[in-house]
Amino acid sequence: MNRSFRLFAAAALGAITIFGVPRFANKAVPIDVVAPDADMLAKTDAVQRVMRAAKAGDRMVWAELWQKAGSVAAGDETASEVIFTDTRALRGYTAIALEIGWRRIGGVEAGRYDGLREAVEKAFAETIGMEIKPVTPEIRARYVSLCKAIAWAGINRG
Amino acid sequence: MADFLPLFGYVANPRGTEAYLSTLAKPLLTQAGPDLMLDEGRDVFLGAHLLALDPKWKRGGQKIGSCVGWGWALSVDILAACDIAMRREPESYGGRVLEASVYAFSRVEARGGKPAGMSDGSYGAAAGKAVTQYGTLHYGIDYGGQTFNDNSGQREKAWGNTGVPNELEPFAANHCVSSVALVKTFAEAATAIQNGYPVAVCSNQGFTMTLRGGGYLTPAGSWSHCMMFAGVRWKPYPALLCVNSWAECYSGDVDKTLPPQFQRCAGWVTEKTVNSMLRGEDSFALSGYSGFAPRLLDNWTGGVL
Repeated sequence: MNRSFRLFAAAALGAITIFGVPRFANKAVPIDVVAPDADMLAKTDAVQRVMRAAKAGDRMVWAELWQKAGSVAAGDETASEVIFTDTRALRGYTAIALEIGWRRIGGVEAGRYDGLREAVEKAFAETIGMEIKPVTPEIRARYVSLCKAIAWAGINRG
Repeated sequence: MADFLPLFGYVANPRGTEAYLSTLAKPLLTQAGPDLMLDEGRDVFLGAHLLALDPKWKRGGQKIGSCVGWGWALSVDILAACDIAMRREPESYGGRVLEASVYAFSRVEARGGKPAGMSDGSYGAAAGKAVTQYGTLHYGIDYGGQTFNDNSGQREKAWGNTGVPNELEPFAANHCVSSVALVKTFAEAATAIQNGYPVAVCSNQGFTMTLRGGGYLTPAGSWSHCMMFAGVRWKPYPALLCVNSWAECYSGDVDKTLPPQFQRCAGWVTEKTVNSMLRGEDSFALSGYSGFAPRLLDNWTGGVL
């Protein structure tokens, strides 16, 4: 660890002592999510219903999380080294993104919203399926569309 | 190039091939797939499907004269990958076929079950009968306490004499190729490949070990050898990609458009030479593999919601 890094770390810790831990949910981040098509609207119908009753802060975290999850997966379209080669990798990433974004940063405990898990699982099962298989460009596009539709359910259908 | 061992093992048996063909309802590709279309302009590389399912795949090298087992085993692997990736069949990829199983079935069980002796070699039609009637074993699978993880010339030699051990035959029978069809011309082979059916090729055509002009093989000499065709390209010359079983054996001007795993174990063979190779009438397109049950995800959200 060099000197400048130690100074930076000390400054950051000092700032946290004074101002507290940054809370993403409290930031008013504008989220621009394109409305899903009719097919994705239908597949995420149950997610929209649950999200209508969700707290505003949770809806914001939800939308931001899924919007970014979709963007990250979409990056494989142009990446020289593809990260998500099969649906097992894609599923692992989805679960980790939820664990970090929803539970650890958002602070939302499992089961807070009845029916949310079932709704999201159903949407994925219908859109991607449950088989372990290679991620083709078509599957990746469906995954990205679904993430955006789930994000949209958070901010536009509340 | 360290693993390069120029071993062969194709022992032509025209009578045996003819006898096998006479048992098939549709022995020729033109009969088995009359609706298959050829697009003289569409390049196809079937190995891409194999690599999508098995990114760490690397061509190994035969250690005895078992080329027929090696050429056919890779053909089955690529067929399985095409069934999943191209034809969207609801199955999962079960890994690499154990070359020794195809080789042994082709030497012993497919020829009546008598010990075949310690000499090496087999032929295409015998392998066709092996994979369609006796099936295939795979690396890394527990067969009632027996798992095969290594490429063993000793196993190929022993099983090539006595056949696949009886206790393993029921496992192999779960994973058969449904049909094979004789391929006699470049156009037929190209048609099969474009439609996702790899071709195992047995011939006496030899080549130099140096690739030229972007991965093309130069015909030279005589190899009594089995390999397999896994791709078709049309420019600068119509050609099929011929995958060898001597590990990364080729040097020279490789085809850089191929994935690295295929650049030095395979080369492009031009139309005229392919026609010459297929004239021996012991090369087959494979179709319809009975693969493994699909593996399923437990969930998508990991219990976080």
